[in-house]
Amino acid sequence: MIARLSAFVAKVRGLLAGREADREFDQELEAHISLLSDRYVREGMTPDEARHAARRQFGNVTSLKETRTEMGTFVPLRTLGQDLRYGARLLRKSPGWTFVAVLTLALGIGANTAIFSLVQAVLLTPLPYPAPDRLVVPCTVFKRLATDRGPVAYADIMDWKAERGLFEAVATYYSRSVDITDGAEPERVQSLRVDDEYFAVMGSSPLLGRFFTPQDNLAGGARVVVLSHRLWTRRFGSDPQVIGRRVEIVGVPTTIIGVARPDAIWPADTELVRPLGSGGQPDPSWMRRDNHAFAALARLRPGVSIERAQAKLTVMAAAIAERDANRAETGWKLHALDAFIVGPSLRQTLWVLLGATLLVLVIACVNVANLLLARGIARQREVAVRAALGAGRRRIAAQFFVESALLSMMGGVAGVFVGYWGLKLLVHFAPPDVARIEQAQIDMRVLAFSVGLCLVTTVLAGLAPAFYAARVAPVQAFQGASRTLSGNPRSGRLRGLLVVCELALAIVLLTGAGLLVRSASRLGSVDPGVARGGLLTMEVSLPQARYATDPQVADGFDRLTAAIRGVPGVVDASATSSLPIGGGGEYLGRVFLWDGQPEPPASADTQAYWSVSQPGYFGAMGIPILEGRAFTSRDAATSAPVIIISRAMAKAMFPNGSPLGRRIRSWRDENVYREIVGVAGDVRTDSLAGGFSNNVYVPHTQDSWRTLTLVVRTRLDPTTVMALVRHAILTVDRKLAVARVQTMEQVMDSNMAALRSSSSLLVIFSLTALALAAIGTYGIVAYSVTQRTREIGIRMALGALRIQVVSLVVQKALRLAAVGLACGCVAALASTRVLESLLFGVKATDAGAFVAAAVILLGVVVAAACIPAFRASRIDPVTSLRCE
Amino acid sequence: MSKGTPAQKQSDVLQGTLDLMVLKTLEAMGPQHGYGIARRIEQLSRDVLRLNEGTVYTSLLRLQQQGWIASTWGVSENNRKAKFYSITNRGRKQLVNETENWERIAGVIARLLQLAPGGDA
Repeated sequence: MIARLSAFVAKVRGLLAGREADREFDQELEAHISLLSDRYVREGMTPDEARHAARRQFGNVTSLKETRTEMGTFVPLRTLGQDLRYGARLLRKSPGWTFVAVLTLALGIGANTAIFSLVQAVLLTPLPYPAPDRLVVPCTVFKRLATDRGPVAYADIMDWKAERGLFEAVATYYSRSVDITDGAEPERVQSLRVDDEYFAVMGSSPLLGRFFTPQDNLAGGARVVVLSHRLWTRRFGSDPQVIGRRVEIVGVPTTIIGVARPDAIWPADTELVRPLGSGGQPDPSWMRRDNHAFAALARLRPGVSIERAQAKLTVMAAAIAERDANRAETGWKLHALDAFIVGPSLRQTLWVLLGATLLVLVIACVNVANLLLARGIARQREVAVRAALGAGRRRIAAQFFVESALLSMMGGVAGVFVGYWGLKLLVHFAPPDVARIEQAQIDMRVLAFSVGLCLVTTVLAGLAPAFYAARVAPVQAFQGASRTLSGNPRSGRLRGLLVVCELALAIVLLTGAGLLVRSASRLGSVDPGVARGGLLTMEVSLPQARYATDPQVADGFDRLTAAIRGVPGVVDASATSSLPIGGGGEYLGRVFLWDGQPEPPASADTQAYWSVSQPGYFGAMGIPILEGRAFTSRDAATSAPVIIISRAMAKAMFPNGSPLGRRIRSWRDENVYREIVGVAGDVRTDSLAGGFSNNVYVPHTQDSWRTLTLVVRTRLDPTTVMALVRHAILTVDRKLAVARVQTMEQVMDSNMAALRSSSSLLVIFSLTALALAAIGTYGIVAYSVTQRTREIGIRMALGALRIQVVSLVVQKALRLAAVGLACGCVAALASTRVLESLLFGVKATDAGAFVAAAVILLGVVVAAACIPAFRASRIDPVTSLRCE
Repeated sequence: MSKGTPAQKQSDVLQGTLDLMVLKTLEAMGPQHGYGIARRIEQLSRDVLRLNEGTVYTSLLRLQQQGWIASTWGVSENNRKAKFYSITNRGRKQLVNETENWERIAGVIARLLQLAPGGDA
């Protein structure tokens, strides 16, 4: 081993030493010969004789020098240099071909690397918490709402905490946004209220100070807070003396007792953590099994699988359902934390994208193979010449290997750039709520894999001519040169098959993209139930410290909206507890009974979203009042309780006759009879894709909430009045934080972001695939035209019309396209089902998308075939016959 | 192109022997130039072994490439610039190995040749 290594070093040195070393060796040999001849002179020869004898005795100097040269360098290295120069010259000679081949490789490598790097960051990298695979999120399954991610009841959490065999720790928490109101700039941040097991679940220790003790968690305990590392850095300048300082949270002075490490808190956007106050004797309402107001996070014991824990919980939930009729349609579901963060639809989108890029990679490989095969066969004559001149099979193979490797290296380098740039593009196009997307970076293993795959393809395809050379004797190749090769049925079929694959793959991607684009346009034209433009929204919270009573809160909001109405450019302003289309706020689900109806289970109840609004809300939002009236300032705290219901709610509860004047109650919560004074138009509450839900509205004077979203209707572009509106708010109360500022259009856009981003990405991919398929078709047709130049010449000499020649050539492409289309449609039918959950208003088998994809593909194929076809039609019969 | 012909293989055996002789000479006599090595082999073989002295250099190149000998420039007896070769530590180890090898093979061959023709029939 060492000997081999030192031989290698010597060779490298020999390579570097060059001429100087050659001269020294010559000198050495000269010296030897002269010593020999000196000796012969001493023995009595004449100098001339001695010199001859010495040379004879020494032997062949030239062959010795040759031996040395061979030993001193790498022979393959010298020929490698030749091959590289020759290969580079060939690539330069046909820049168009080279560009297309390199581009094809770069797209395949780059797209695949970028997407996979994204998947890696979002799906495959473990969460940054200790033993993250043991973190689980217990949720309530509400069968009627078709969700398994519902909030949980405190009494349920108590049951789980008792399961010490399953869980190491179970934490209760809820998250709220709160205002930090001291300092120069009031700021709204995400905060958590947690019980004392929370940090045990997260498995982290404080960076500074301490975390919560059971004493901290007692109801009415001291007001203390733990800062996130981010907030500590941003707002407190990483001050190590911060422990013991006070910070005003929602107007209440609170003592800082600890600072968490980076990545020690989940949900990751949390800035403040405060005790829940659940210790001791909790509020009786908390213990009600139907009070689903909390979230939970648990850590499994080591060795306990999530399936085992789930099985136990399912049994427990069934027992509760048997005892408690209210719980009949609920269950419990344990989500692994990583699966909870990246929900099933995003997960699916990412896999779809990954699948799409794998297709592009395959297409790229097929294309390059095709390009190389076509060119390789065209070069058979060159190979024959080389073989005839004495080049060995291995030597020819080495030459083609070097050429292909050169090509794939260029493709690889370009692919790295495409991948880097593509990843940036992806992060840009991605919907805004993808967790950890900002951590995505080029994954070296994938890059290596993609480059490797392209390299193998290129080299295998590139070596094809050398294999042909091995099979065909030079004489045969010369004799047959152009005639037999054009008709080589095996290679022709192979290349045809490759192009058919490309076309089929392009159809699959095109259909998928078509379905998503149609979905996006359907979704974009859905009636949201509210005005789209000219609406600015922002969240404001009035703190208990300065707005103690309900009338004070209601009055506070009235003063705020009055001030905003005075801003130039503002038409109207109002406030609501929840924005439509998932725009933010509290989506409170409640169940309703008619006047005089007995409580369940004796009769059924009707579910609806409960929201609180100021007078003027319907006008400002552009929600029509279909019957009755909107709220007015006369709907006061002391006047008769009123309610406005949505049309869907009216249909559900009062299918016959007008609901006006009838009374309903939210029987489990408020239990107050409210008179229906109006019926409002339907709005989409959760999302544009969701149907119309049942909604009820009550005046904010009769149910005062501290946190409301202000809605501001403007005459101008809403963003232009933003600063003035904020100023108006601060003139009412300079300690208010204004949060979640967004226009209604932004709300709708972000609601569509997932679909938009996956559809635009799939469009990009399918266009790439289409371009690659076009290149492939062009390549094969152009090649066959070159091969059939003589035949076409003869046909034209015999009187064939140009149009006949064109159709002859295009027909070949169309035959391929027909086969590709048929295969592609079958594959697309099978694979677009994957997209089903992303689609809106379109079936996965939508004929329109399939027809559109087919038409586009056929058009591109014809266009790609026409270029060489017209070239063929201009062939001059005389030249074409002579050139052979 | 001519690599691997039978003639080459025979001379490979000879080359191996020559390498061993060169190594042994350098070990026994200390640093020598090519001419000196050729004289020593000539002297020891008492004209039994006639070789083209150039082949000594093939051997020297090979040994040097394996790192078994090293070379420095010096001045020869007739005041010419000459390259002096000396054995390296790795070369000494190699020499021990090769000597053992040689003796084993020589022993086998000797025994083989002493067998009487058809003696065991």
